Amino acid sequence: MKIFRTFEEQYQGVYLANFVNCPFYQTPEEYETELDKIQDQLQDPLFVRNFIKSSKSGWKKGAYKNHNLTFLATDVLQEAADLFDKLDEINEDSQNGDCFELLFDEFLELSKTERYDDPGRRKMYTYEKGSLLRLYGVLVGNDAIIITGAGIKLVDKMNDTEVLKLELDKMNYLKDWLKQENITDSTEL
Amino acid sequence: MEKNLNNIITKTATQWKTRAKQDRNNRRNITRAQAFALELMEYMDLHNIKQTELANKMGVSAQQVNKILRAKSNLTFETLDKIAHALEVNITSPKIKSIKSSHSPIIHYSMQIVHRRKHKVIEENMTSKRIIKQNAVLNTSMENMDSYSYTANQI
Repeated sequence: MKIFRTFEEQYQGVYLANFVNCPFYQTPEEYETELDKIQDQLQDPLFVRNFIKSSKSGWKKGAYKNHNLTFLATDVLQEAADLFDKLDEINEDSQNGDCFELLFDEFLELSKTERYDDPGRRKMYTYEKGSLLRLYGVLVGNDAIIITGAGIKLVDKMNDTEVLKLELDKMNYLKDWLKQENITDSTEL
Repeated sequence: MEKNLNNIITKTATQWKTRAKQDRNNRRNITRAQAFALELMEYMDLHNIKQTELANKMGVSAQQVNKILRAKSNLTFETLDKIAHALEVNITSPKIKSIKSSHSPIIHYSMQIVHRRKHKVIEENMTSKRIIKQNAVLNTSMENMDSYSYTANQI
């Protein structure tokens, strides 16, 4: 695994993963981190449309089964654009010190169950309501999250599609790696 | 011995930031290119036209068509004419419309990571109209032009 800082002079908040030497998944070489991959793929109409159309997305199994393909693809592209424009804005404002907290606070437990029995897996919605995208990550200590990937979620549960199951596996792999490397925190005491 | 995350990190990611800046500065063009690509794909799907077939008919490489469908091509009149000719359709020409005459209410899009910050302001005629008709840009009829006002800016 390789972990990158998201912003300069960062000591807490949101970090980015690059999967190397993982037996079941590698971040493609052309991308520096998983965020770069998300940025490229989710703003590519051909990728987004083909993905939704394919059985991998679970489009026809979930709540969006009656939605028009172009309509869904347009929404995903719009959502990805808003997400990255906002990240750029946050990056511009990073000197004022609150950007790390702002992003970090938006990551939630994956489900209600995990709220009580917290394994440290996290998700972030782009919009407050009606979000089709999720960013996924793993909590380190109390003040750091490492982003492991993203998903277009058109199904009820992550286990309903192989693509989202892979995102769960990536989170679990990173958790095991952190444990193995004995990395428990981001703050120096 | 327990390790600190910051002690094992040696690099700050740079690529996503460079691209995010470029994309944000070029957002209008990207959005238009994406919308056009989606309509083109819908038309191609409907008429069972493959990328290579379109490329052959246009007299361009398959990579060039792929770039158009991935919204990575800067569309010119010449390219649009080639697409129109290849598909035997009309692609509407851009029209000049006064901004003042369009009464565009403001939509407040509330983002999860934005909700404690300022709201994004989006012109209704750019974002809120859903293109539910098939192959709208490629339609030949003049009656339906007005509902696709964004096509005037597509090129």
